[in-house]
Amino acid sequence: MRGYHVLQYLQMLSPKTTAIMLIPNSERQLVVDAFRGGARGVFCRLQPIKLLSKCIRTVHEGQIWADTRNLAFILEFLTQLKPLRLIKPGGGIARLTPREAEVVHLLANGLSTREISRKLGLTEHTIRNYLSAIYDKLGVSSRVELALYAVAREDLTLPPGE
Amino acid sequence: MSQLSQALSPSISVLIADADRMSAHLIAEGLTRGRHDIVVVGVSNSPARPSGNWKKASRILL
Repeated sequence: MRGYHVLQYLQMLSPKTTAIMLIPNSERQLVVDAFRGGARGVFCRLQPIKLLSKCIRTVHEGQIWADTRNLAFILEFLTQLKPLRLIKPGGGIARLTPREAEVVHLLANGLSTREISRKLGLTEHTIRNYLSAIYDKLGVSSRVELALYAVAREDLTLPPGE
Repeated sequence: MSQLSQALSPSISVLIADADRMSAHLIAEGLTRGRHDIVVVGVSNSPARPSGNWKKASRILL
């Protein structure tokens, strides 16, 4: 098990404990993986141990430990992420067709793609096409995001038309 | 005064998880030498074993 995986395991086991990842060198992927995994600092093993004490104290005080180069890796990674799309409040919903609204309603009520397809008498492929169009209109990128979006708007968890 | 504040400050419990046992012990020794504010509560070479220590540690080094 690599440090990155241990870090994720640790987050589940003890979310309040903060972690510092010891890395062999300041390689971009190591740094990005460490912070994505939940580390609050990265410390290069080549650095003196006295500095590690300072790193631990700094993280203990609630700060982040990373040098300028490591921060640059994180910023570069963030800029490569898909930009957030801004949707006008209610604007996306209004663009949904009655059928799409029905799919959202069923998904928000916990039905799987297969269950939705059976309920509506359509193929799973068609439901997936509907979902893809819905994601695009509402600016979400996954079923979970869509379900959260729908739950946040009560009108989408109710059957269409109510 | 600085010694007094150091003595009164709460210690930071640390667990060191490292696949290299020797390296983990060297880090532990280096961290605790002459200092009282950092306490190494465990050194682990396996992610499966230290679950108890993980809960005791406020900071973990991987």
